[in-house]
Amino acid sequence: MLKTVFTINLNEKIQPGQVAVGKFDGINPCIVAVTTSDKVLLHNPLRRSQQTSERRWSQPSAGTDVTFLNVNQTIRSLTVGCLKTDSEADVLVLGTPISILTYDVMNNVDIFYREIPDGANALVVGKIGSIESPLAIAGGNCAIQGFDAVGNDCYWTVTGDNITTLALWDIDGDQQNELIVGSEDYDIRVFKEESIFLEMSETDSIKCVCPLIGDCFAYALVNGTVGVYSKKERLWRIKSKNQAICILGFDVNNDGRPELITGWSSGKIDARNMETGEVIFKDNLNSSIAAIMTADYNLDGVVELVVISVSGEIKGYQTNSGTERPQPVLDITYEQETIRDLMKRKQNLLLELRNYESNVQFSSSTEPLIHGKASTEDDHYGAIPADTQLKSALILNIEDSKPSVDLTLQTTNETIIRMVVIFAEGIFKGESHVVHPPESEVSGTLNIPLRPPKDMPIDLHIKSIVGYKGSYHFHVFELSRHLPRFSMYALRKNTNFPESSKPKGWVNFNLGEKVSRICLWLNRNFLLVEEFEYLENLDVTFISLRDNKLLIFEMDGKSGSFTIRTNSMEIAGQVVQSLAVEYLNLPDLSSTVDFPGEIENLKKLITKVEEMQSVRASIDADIAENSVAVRSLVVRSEDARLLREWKMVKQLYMDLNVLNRELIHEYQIRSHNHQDLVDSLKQINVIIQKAANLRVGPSKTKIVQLCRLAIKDNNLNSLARIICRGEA
Amino acid sequence: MNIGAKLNRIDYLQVGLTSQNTLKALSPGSSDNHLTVIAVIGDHSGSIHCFSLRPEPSTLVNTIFRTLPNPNGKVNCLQVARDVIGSPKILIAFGSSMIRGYTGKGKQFFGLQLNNLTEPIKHFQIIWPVDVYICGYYIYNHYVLTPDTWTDGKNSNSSIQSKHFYISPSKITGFIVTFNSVSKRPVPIISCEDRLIRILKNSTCQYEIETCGIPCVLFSLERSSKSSKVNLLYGTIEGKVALISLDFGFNEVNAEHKWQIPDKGYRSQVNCITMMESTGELYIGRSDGLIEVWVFMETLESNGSLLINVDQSPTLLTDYNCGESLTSICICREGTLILCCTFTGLIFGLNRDQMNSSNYEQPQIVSNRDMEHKINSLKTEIDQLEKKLNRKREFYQNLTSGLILNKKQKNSPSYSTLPYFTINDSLILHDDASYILALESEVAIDSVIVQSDIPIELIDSERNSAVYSLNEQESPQVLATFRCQANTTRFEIKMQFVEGQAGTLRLYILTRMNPKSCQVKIYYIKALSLHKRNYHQIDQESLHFVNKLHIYGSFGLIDCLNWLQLCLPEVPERIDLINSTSIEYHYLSTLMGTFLEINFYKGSLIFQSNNLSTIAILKDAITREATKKSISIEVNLHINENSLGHTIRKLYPKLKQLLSEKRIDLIKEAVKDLHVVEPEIAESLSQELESNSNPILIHFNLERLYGLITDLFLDYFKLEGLTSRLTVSNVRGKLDELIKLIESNVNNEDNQVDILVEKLNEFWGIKTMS
Repeated sequence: MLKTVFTINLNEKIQPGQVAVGKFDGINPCIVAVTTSDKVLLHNPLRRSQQTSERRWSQPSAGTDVTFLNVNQTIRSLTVGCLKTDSEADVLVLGTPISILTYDVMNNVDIFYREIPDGANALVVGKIGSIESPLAIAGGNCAIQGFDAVGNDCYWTVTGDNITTLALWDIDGDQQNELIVGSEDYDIRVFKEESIFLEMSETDSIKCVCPLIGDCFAYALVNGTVGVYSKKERLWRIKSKNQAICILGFDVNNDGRPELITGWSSGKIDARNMETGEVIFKDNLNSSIAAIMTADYNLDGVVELVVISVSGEIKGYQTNSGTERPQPVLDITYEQETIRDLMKRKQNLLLELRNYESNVQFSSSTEPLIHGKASTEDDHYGAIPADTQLKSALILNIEDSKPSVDLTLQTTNETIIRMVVIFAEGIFKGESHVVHPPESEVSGTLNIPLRPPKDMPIDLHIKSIVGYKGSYHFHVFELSRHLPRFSMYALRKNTNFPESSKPKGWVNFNLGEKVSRICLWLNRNFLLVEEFEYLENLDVTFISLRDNKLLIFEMDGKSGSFTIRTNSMEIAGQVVQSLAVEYLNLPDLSSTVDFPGEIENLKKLITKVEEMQSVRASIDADIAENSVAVRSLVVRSEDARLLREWKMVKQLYMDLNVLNRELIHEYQIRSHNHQDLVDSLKQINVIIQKAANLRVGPSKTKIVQLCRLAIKDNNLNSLARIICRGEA
Repeated sequence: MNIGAKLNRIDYLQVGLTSQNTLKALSPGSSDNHLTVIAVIGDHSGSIHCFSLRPEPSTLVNTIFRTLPNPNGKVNCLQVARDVIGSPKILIAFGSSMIRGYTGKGKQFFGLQLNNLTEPIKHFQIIWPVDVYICGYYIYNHYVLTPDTWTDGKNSNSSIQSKHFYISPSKITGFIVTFNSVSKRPVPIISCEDRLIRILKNSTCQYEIETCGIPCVLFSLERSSKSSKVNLLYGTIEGKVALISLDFGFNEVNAEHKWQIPDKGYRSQVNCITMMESTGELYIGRSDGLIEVWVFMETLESNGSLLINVDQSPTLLTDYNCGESLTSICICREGTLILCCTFTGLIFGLNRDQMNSSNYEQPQIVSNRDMEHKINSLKTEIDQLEKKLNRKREFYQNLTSGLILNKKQKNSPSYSTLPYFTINDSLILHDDASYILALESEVAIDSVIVQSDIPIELIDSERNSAVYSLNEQESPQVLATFRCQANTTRFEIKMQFVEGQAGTLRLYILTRMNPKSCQVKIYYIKALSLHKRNYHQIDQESLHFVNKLHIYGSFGLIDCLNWLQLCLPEVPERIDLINSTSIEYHYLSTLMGTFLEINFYKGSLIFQSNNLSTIAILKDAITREATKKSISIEVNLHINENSLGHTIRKLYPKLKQLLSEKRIDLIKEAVKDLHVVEPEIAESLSQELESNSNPILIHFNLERLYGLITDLFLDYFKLEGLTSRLTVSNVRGKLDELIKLIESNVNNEDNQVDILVEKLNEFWGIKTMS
């Protein structure tokens, strides 16, 4: 197991997640962290080889082995890594909302600074795919950008939403790293160079991802879930009410396989078996964990697990070497714990046994009073007929003013359903939903309207509390139901819709499959009253329960040409992904598309971006001018103060105040402008992503690359053409 | 004793569920292992287990005797008495009315069936050889035995005589008998739910002592020979432990509160108290599994001997959390072993860290072997149980799926019954005007669902590991799920209610064990849920601002009591109808600090309070109830306009504190960002800020206070019949304006509160006479 080998207290408030350890001279590890006041802290444990000049690193009063770097910008992310192939030394990489900065700590110089309008929420350094040199990869608002050692833009791709975390790891064992990306749209995507290789949907925003071993990697979500994937298959997950701040693979018990170390917001750290999730080690720090790293921080030749908390407490752990005999004192408490666990287990078994035994006892007794009656608070049992069953059905309710998918539960006899709890992720605000009808309306049937907000398959775990009316004891019936991905679309039989309601957007591609196979897909992914049988040609119309918009599928049985008609590019994309990737496993699919609404929108956005960029330039000039004026006013007022010209001092300060107010005002305009700009850029990225989703495989990658080129060249018309035809 | 000694846990036994103080030591042993520890435990199945602990370091247990379970013989209390020659006698109350005595060898020598009791025995004490004291929920009885009962072996009711009895006006929570050394007679003492400890004499209550909470445990220290004083410790459900010194005279008693611990902060309910008087150590067991060791100061007497000073409050030495609620603590081996018993029947010992003892290494091996043996036998037992269970599971599966029919009842359908599992639950009002709901179950909890008709605020505490999710919906109903982690048997949640809204709170507790079952706990939230009983004097100033509500009509005492029960907590379930013509209750609001005085007799019910909202809530509730029962009542209302200002003055300190805290927090944030270069300045700055913020004992929510102030004025308009002036929707719109007004008018100036009151009156358009 682990033992503590050192603790250091920095006494500085650290931002969670914004910590890294690097060897800036190529030999000795140092911790760099972002403080709550957006300064970069460097902890050099042994104060060796310090070549810091006095220019930017300032020594604080406390802690002589700590130095600070002022960046004067909000720092969103921080990492260290080696960008040069011929050097061992790490460089510091900082990401801000508008830029990426790489910095040579040893020589105290900037290596490069690049503005990236999408920002850098997450950073990672390393090699990706077949690109020769290591890159600093920044993930921002939907866009991922990679820079090499001198700041050349070598890599670009887009994803569905704001990126929250990045990791590099060779998942498929081809000696080339893939990029694991977690984003705010609950998705984990694995990129093989520019194309998506794997895509997993989770139940909340991704907090962090980390590679473990082979094809395994771990992830943590904002809602407190931690889990492990082996490629596309999830091995396990757990959910806690605390949030996991950081995760890392580290071999705790010397078995050659890493354990998953998780640092929680409660200050707890635990190590779990990566295959089962079983906890094998835990410890507590006084405040929330900020980061977990590995380094030989005390330079004794053994790599330690280094944990740092938000209050600046650093703790180093080492594994006990296998030959060392466990200490007797530890052993006795361990055995005591075993005994306690066993006693607990025995007690639980006895209690369960008692349940079954008394069940027999009661059912064999002829006591009439227990039959069919509600139990009171003092009763020692609650009884229902043994043949009680709970039936469930999922029905589309389109008649209601707010259409929904209705889950209907019904008991088979006079018992009632007092309450139902549904555990399902991605459909309710929390993880569960309780239905508790008023006492007067309790009956044997219960109708629960469900409205999944996203088109994704959902497993409903239902616990129904069944008994007699007014009873104090109830039986719990547990059942699971599956909601298919497109459950919020109802089939319409009559196709006589007015021309105006017909969707204008469409996607067309050739599947080369038989209609019967597509029917099977329809049966699986939609809630249908009766299943589709074999058809010559396909022409079906669905109506969305969310907004009453139509979704039409047409397929020509002979040519295999498939058309999706809808006004939403997003829905079309999801249908394509579900049909072509999940169901048919197609390696490549190109399509022709037209979504007039979206294209129009895209054009507007691009013009808007251009306008904002010009406005921004002019504001920048104004601010520069004003700050020069401020500087001169400060100097003049100081002069006046020394000359004791109080009247003048007052006048100057008043001027300064006016100017200051003006500056603040300008700043507000600028930040507003910046926010608009970021939003627009994000929307453009989202549209590109949606367009890419209408294709599969290399065709999908091609769209992204072409769009990127078009934006770079400012070629607006070609952008629309790329989206529609898939080529420039 | 070594300060901060670490406690090591050794698990001994597992019995059935236990009640409070049912583990007793027959022989506490000695620290040098010369004497063996012998203890006895009685559990809810009616089984008694007497066992001895092998000398250290072995952790094994020898059974001396063990009785068979007794279906209706839940052991509620257990006492160990000594006869003339000092051999121990175990006295046990089984079920509702049976008392039996066993010798230390397990031979039953005595049995007593009390058939004329109206209530089950909750507490009892026998003063050897003839006095038997018994308490039920409300009734106290004192019996005298004829001496031959002890030798008789069989019970005979002719040999017992009732001597005294007393009906308590409130539920009895604890009972103890001490000795008055002046008048040379035993003194029975009961603690009651209405925040009083009552000292009884014969069949009457001689003396009432107000306690600092609702007392639930009593413990009396051994008498010092020369003094006529008795030191009585009590623990409350709010988690406090306090000491009262009783000074007995021939006919009178003087009581003095010495101290209470802890001073501040929230602790769980006290379940058991024990004191080791030779070392001056006080042991407290709580419902959240915490065992605390407190130590008293020692004072040097003039003759050079050390005396333990119990008049000063003790300090916390060490604590240990075992994770489930404690029911008994026994001190063994002269304080080096603390034997504890939990609700689920786990008996374990805590010993002090003895790392430095020289003979440590050698016996270690012995104990390891013991443990191995213990582990192995447990493992085989579990294997056997699992096999048996699998058969039963299959049978149940077949039964519910209709594969087999019950042979005995061919014509009637078979039933699936779920035995009930015990849940200990409590809903306790704390000083910060919030309730803490605690649950403890004998089986692991899968999830808890909270449902309430009225708006309540649930505040998740750090102590819970359950994942909390709240339903999203429009209706006022509150629905929340708490999904517990594996092996959770305890659950705790803090909730805040709004006064004036009465409703039902339901808790559905789902178990993890198969077959899955669910139990419901129902609580009725009273309209004035944040009031508590009060006995001390109301300050003179408050008496000038009294609002009075007088209700009269054709109703009796019982009607009044029923109405009060619906409106207020801590109202007794029954009253003595014969002896009381007029009854008075005093209440204090935990949130506002205002008082409420209730006085009722046949045909008349009078409420007096300096808080107008309280009066308005009562008027609404009682008129509604009276109409429901079609009792015609007349209402006479006297409103004092100045009481509005008075209530705000009461709230003002809290308001000021909260607002200044808010301000200081903002400043602190800003100061932190100033990277101050000179350490002295930084130091003084932070000190300045710290000194400005008073240590906060109780946390309130600002929004809650704003709501109270708004409601106060709304109630005023309603009672004055001025509803046309402000409609409710209108007022909600003005809330922001009001908050602004309050925030801008709260600062440190002396007469600021008067200005605030004036401004508020102006805001609401009220003219007051000064």
